[in-house]
Amino acid sequence: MNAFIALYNLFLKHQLTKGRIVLIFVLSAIAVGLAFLISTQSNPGLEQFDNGAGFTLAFGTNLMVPLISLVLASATLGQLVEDETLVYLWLRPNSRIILAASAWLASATVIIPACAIPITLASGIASGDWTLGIYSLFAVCLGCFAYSAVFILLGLLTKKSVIWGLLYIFIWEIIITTAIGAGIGALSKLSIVYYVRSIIGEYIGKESPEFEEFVSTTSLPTSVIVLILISAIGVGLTSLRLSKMEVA
Amino acid sequence: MSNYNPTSNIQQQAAWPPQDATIVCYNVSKAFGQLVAVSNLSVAFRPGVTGLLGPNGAGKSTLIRLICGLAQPNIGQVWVAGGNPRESSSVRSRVGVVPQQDGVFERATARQVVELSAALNKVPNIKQAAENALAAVELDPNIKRPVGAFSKGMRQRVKIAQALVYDPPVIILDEPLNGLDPKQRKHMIELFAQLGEQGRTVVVSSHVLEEVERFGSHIVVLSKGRLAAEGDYKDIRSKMDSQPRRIRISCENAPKVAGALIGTETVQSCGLTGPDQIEVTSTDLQKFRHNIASICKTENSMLTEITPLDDDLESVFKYLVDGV
Repeated sequence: MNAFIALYNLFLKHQLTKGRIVLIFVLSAIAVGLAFLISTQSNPGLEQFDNGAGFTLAFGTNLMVPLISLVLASATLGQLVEDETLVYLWLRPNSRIILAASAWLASATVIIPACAIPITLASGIASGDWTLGIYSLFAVCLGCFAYSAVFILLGLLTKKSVIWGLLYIFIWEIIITTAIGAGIGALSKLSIVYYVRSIIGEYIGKESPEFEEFVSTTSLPTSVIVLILISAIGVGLTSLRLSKMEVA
Repeated sequence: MSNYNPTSNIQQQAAWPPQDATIVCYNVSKAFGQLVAVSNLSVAFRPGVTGLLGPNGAGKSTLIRLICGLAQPNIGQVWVAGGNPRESSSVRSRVGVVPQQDGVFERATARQVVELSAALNKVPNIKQAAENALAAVELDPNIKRPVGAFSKGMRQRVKIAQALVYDPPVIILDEPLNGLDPKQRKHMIELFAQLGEQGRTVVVSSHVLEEVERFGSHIVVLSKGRLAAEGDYKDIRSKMDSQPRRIRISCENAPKVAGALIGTETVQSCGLTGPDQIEVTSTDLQKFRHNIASICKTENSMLTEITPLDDDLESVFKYLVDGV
């Protein structure tokens, strides 16, 4: 058995706990439930599309993707530090990048379906436009990869990774860069959610005047490249942290 | 550091480290904030079993972490099996470690934990190696329960099996007998001895004096982060035993027994501390234990309890510590 596969299997096995499964189901149920509500309360056509797209951005990309990524990814290596089992992996003669990359991929393996399925469904149901669902699926997958890489690193850096992660999501990603930064182009580009929203914006900006601000922002290839780069840098820094840290 | 030659740095001490030393710590210090866990320690370990002895907080676990590369010394150098354990992956593949902490991967089975260790160490026949390692610690490889549901003793055996599965020439065990019952302890001690006889360097830490006696003849004693003693167990033990020790005896007719004890060869001082209690200071604890039974019998006194009052390592090593 290859070391990467062995580590990947171990991380995957430890990803889902009862609490995390409940969180995923609750958020998924809220997403799909609200999507039904929006579809029934909106007039078919542009109004429904606008409401559905707005809901996808606000609930799906701003909230659900970072929250689920935080809870699962920060625990992937963070839990091992806490219960002092990291020692069993750290002492092995394997490269740190294999350890970091397998942890990241195992997290993403769980996070992507947990986010992508309900958000894609909710997006399609709420807007009545399944092309938006496809764009959401693509954006959410890349967003999950990027957030997972960042939050795996956070789990190694601090024992209070969930608290710091929540502060990061709500204060930096939502309030500063998205709400305040909307009027300041450069500031808004300093968040992950900006690039996730830009991928969806590539479609909705052309379909509705309400979202035409997205047309002049970052292009689809740029958003994709930035999200891949964030993922790679996150995994690289996790590997570096593993090399330098002292293990209990 | 990977080219570190321990002998070049300490030429002034021709006999140290021994030529066959597989682990060398030279002038190593490690502090955590204000707490100095290991201070200016130079120690070498050779093939065979070495007992690493010291009371809780003596710095044993920190020294083990430094040897394994889990922590970086603030000062000094650590050299294990040909290199720096913190930087060299080939060194890590040659060292098997049983950490002190209780946790193992809670959701995995014993077989999965051991197979993971084998896979990460690139063992050719993983399944067979895992079965052999589990058999060595007397664990059934087919137990379906996850390790999280195991007793402490069973978890301890899984930890030992994951360290043995890739056949490392250096094995470091931090308090490996914790949680094991007497039969398992006996088996493990025999296993460590067998590993030592095979030419491996086996370092076993413990804070229990009697336990270390059974590991082997060579011991390293740490106290307050420093080397308190090193050498043959019997020599060190006899030095320890020559220190006066206090014992409380509970028996009937205590005044008569106390009277009979005064002046006996092994009793330095003796006094009544209660109606049925005597406190004795003895210069030879083992001999005293033999004598007291016959004295009580002679005095028609029923002996109910013998309690060593300073038999903990802290007290036993006091004279060593004072000399550090």
